[in-house]
Amino acid sequence: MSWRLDPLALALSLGVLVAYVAGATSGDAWLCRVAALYGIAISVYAGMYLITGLAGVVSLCVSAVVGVGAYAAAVGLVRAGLSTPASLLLGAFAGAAISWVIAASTRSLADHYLSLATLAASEILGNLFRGWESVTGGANGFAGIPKPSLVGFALQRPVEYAPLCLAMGLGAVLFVGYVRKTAFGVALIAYREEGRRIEAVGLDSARLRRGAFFLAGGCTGLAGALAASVDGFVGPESFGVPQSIALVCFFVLGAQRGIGGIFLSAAISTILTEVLRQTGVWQNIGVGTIALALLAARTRTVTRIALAKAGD
Amino acid sequence: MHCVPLLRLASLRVAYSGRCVLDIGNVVLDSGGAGAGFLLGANGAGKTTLLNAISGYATSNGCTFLDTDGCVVRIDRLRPHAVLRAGVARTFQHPIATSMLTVWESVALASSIYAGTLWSPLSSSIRPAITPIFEALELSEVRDVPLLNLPLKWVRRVELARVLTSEPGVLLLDEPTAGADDVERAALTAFLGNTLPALVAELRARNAYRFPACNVWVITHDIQFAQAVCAAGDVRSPALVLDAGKVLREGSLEQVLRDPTVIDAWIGGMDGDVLDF
Repeated sequence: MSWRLDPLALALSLGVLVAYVAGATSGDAWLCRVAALYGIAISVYAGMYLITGLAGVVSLCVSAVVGVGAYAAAVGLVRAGLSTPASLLLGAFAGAAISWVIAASTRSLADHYLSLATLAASEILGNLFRGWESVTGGANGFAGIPKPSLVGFALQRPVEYAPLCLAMGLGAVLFVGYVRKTAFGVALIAYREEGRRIEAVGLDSARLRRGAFFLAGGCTGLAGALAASVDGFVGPESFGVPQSIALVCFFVLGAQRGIGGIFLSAAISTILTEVLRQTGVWQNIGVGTIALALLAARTRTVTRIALAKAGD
Repeated sequence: MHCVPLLRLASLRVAYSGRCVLDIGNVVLDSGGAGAGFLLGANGAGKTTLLNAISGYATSNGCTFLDTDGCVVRIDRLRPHAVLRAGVARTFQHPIATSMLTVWESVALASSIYAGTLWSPLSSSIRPAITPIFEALELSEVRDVPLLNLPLKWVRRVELARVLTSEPGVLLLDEPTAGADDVERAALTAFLGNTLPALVAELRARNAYRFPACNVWVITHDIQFAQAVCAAGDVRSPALVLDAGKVLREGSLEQVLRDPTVIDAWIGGMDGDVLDF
């Protein structure tokens, strides 16, 4: 199987780069920040590509895993004095570890029961974020997180940290792209389509799922760690079930385009969220309404082709 | 001393919601390494349940042993993937025919799973021993076709190829001729009667098959197919007839098909005279 450059993915990526360059040259921080958030979103959807796109598991704790990565990086940066690269690694590992635990504790579940279990996991983690005040700051959140810095250079402004976020996002896509080409990636597709029957050819399906959750959690944890550093603040209200549901909805929008769909999903979710942020209280209503309309428009196509095409 | 891996069942019992659906005493499944043994019985007799119990897809009481020339491995507490690794493979009555994976990808995946090379690119996962299996099942002509675009007969062949890549000592086939036309039945007859034993012998000679022979057992309602496999392999195939979850009769195919209790319980309800030895 060869790499194919999805035209839409290419167009979106170029559009983001153009927006970044325009923002950098004109001094428009908002455009640069959108580019940074787009890079972070790519990492999230790269992780979802493994779990939902290839393995066919609808996980409703994606946002919570992002939160685990964010809080882990925050603690590492503020309390342990870690460098930005170390905090990113810590966030990725924390996301991977918690995802592995979720997969291990749900090994006997499948289909919608598994999705419900991830919903429960999201609630548990949300309560942990709010309740573990000594570590997370509780409902008030964790503030004072330093901006990213690399090799002694502080990346204070969006024009400075956006390339880091885009590079991390691209790295996540390259990583899941490589996984897709391995027998492990093909096994995930087989698991999606055959379920437990895949064990008849010698594959330990529970172990496969743990592996997929681990890798996906690494990508989403990395996104959380980046987001914590970029925003300088982490709060529990950002990592709840509504956010996970929104992520799943946006992922489905890009699901048919395989890996290229990661860019589509990231672009739609980032642009919608940031553009509608100006509307204040109407942001969530607007995002939900537009997402619903886009999903409805694609429903016929989605049901015909199904998520099976997500693995291109 | 025997060369064919034997499947020894001891007090195998399966119950669903407290209701016993399978109660097998002490049975030894030994097809002799040529042709196949046959699991016969009416619908609901427990044939597929027996397969599920052996292969780990159904929880059972009792013991199941794989006996390879005195080396005995207990497999009744193992999960399906571990049962396959121990050497017992099975196919399904209704294979998944909606997969977007191509024929080659499906077989290569099975090969890489067995070889333990999941983290390598799929293209490097093909072992040389796979090629004879591919050719024996004539899969080269549909190599790059997704399974969802193939007729059922090809999907069954792919499923067979996938399990053969794990070099099983025992092969359990669940209704392999269901929905098959005469051409496909003849092809499967030839495969079980001649091609598979020769393939196993060839791979064994190349140190590419871990068992000395393959003990094949087939669930079927197709008595003509069973008789044809016997004729093709020129062997007296063993048969085990189940009825209501219990063993009704065991012996050679010829013997069981002439047994009055078998005729009363099963064959008597079938249309047409098919017994012709």
